[in-house]
Amino acid sequence: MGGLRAVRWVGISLAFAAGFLAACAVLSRLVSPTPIGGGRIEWVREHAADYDTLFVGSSRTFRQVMPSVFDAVMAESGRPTRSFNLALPGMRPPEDAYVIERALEGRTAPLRFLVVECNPVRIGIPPEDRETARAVYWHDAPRMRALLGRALAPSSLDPDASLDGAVVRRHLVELADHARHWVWNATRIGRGAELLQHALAPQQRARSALRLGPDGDGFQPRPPEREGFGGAEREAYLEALREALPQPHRLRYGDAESQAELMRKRALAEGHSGRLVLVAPPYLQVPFAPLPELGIPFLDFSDPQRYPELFDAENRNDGGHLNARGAAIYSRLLAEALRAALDGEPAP
Amino acid sequence: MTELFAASGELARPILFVELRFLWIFAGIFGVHWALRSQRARKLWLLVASHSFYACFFIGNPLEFFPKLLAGAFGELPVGWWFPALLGLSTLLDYQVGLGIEGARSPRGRRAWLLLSLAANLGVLGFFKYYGFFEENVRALIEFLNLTPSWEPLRIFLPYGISFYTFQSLSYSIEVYRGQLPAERSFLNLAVFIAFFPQLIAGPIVRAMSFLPQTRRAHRLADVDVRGCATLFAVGFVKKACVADGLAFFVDAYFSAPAQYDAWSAWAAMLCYAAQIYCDFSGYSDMAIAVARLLGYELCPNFDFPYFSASVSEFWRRWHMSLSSWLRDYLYIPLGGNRGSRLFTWRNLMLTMLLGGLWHGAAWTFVAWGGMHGLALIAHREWARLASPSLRGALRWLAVPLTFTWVLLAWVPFRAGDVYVAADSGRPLRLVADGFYREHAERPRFPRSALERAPRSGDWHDPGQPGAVRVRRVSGGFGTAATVWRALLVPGGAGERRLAQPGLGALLALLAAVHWINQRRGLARWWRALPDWAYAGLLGAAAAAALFLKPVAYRAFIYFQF
Repeated sequence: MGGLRAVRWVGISLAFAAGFLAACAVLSRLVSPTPIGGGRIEWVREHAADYDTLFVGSSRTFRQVMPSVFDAVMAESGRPTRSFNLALPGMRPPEDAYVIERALEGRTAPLRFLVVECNPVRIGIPPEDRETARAVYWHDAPRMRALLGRALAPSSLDPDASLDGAVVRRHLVELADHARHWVWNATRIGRGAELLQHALAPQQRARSALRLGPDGDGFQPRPPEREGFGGAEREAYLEALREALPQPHRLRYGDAESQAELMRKRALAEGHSGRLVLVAPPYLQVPFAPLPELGIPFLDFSDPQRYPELFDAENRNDGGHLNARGAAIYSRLLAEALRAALDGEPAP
Repeated sequence: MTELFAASGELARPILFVELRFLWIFAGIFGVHWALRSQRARKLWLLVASHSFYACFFIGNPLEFFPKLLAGAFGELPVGWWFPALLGLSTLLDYQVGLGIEGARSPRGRRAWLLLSLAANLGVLGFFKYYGFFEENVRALIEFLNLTPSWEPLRIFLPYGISFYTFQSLSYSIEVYRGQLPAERSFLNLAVFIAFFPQLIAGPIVRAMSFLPQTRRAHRLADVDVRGCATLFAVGFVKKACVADGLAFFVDAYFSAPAQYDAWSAWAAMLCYAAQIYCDFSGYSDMAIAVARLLGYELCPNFDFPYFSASVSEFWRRWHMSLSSWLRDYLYIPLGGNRGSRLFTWRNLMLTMLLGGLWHGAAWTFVAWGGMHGLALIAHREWARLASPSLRGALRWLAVPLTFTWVLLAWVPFRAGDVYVAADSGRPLRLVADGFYREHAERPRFPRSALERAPRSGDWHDPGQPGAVRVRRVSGGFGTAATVWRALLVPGGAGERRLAQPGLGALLALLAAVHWINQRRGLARWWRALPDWAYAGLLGAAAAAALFLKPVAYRAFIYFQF
């Protein structure tokens, strides 16, 4: 009797799951995920022929790479580009791969460069982003596979490295949170409410209007009121800089899944006749780098000895980001470094 | 001592019935509850679960409860860590009061025990809920007299649910005092009654007479109407997460700058707010009733299609029924009810409604809201007395729209007292788009310390509005209310901006039609006839559709702040 009841409840649960999944499948097919970043991804997809170079990364790209400066320097060197800054604040792998895939979807125009900020796969969602459209939209099956791979991979590429039980447990808790967002994404959570809101009150949604920046190239300068680097934060930065300067510059290669993610991005770029270029932005931290044997160009700006102007406090907005002046310098150096890499010369 | 009352630091996020984590927590409670064999063990489990659930409102993740408390013993305790103990103390007091009343030899002794319960319960409620109101008004008066107050304001955090559980435990003492109920001998039964988690935070305010007998009865899982409970919970979820939270966007947009919008927008916003607050609160009540039923307990209904009422007195028999009947039985009738002169009855009606308004929050806008309802009750009473039956019959068609319009106008001060402020500076903040569909790049960037401003009575942190505190203004809000009333009632007395397309009107009409059909029981039974597998499949599809239609960000239930 008890067995029969259990079978009945299992059947009912399966029917519930089937109904849920069927509805999810219909919704996923009919409705696209929420446009994030003011619809910039959709813009790039629709205007594929207008851009041959894409910058992808976090706020260290979003607020620091000026396509207009980059294109001007590239044109001067005889390799004109038409670039677009597709970065989003807080974006780390594997989210960036999702953005790249969406942006290149159906693209027929050839891509020249896919310039990606080099970061390892991040597991876990920042608390301030949890349960927001920002965290939900990129959770799909390939991203979940990458996260699972990261959760179960040793943190080092050392062949003797083993899994740390405590770390794996923490990762699995984070993975459960990702799984929840994945399910939400499958239901296109909030999309119905948003579409309704767009239809009924379009003017109220003005703040989410397409954000291409003042030059129409995706670069968003920081509002002037948010510029400024002073006080204790500046002192702490200068202290950290003083400590970092005498240190030899080092690289870290992270874990196997993060390296595999880089290879997937390379395949994506090559699939559209483009070339993947990885960048370590100017930041006082040991940068994550691709394994040399992958042969991916890697432009490393994280060495304060080599790029003192990028670490000058006058050119920075905080310890992690450049200000508008620093961004212009960085964009120029980025173009020069890319040109040098293409010519097989050492970076400037 | 000051530190004990004056909360600081980041508050834990309230657990909402519409969140997935609640479903996990409830699945655990449900599973253990029905796995236990003895009734006593089940009640003990419910008590532990209810207190832990309540503690999670202050401490956060249930899994972090004991580690945090342990860590707190050696360092800083989480905000409000002792509020669950307050709930326990209230239970202990009323247990003793019940026994004391029954054991007292003289009416005077019985009265003394009752007064102790009233003084202690209302004293605690008054301190936490009304100290800020009192202090701010005294301060305003002193400043009005061109003097300077010599004390620093004490910021007090309002424990969740205190208005609800205080009224609930008071109902026990009063019922025992009146001889309507024997004193409860089992502390466990009384503790389960007061702390029962489905209704602990925002009601319904259950009467001891209806709940305590249920704690003595044997419960069987086979008696639980699982399908009915699942349907009721799903309906509550859709009301809260899809309708109320969806309409909140329009209401917040309008109230962020009411002077800029036209009259159409004012009506649309107020209709949206009427639907929002009804769906928010009745959705919560539906879910609370469903969850309680799944555990074998029956809670009283809280709503009965109140917007179809033909008079304000009928409205109060159908809106927040557990509170209105509480106020009627324990305030209006003890005040003398209608057993006296006309003026005496008017006074009682007005006093009951003013205090009912004040129960909702320590702000003059709530008092005004209560006052408007008091006026309408008096007017209706006089109309019923003076108008001839034929006149009343002839104008009956006007009753429902007129009542609804008055209720709508009364919602204006109720809502106008609320304002979102940047938590770090206290300046008004426009968070319209962010609350609905925030993105990292769009979100206002306030320092993390933003949430560390000491909350005070009436403030509440809305999970949908990070970096902001929703502040209940003690004496403000009337300017906003006047602007909205003017836009609603005075031709040309409004701005130019339009809140939404006419489609919003069609949406509201659709919601009203569904509500009307539901009232006629048109949607009540069809799902009963489905086979189990079809019902489960449909429920699964409905769950996916509800997630599609709900905004991503959660919003706290409006009544959590009361």
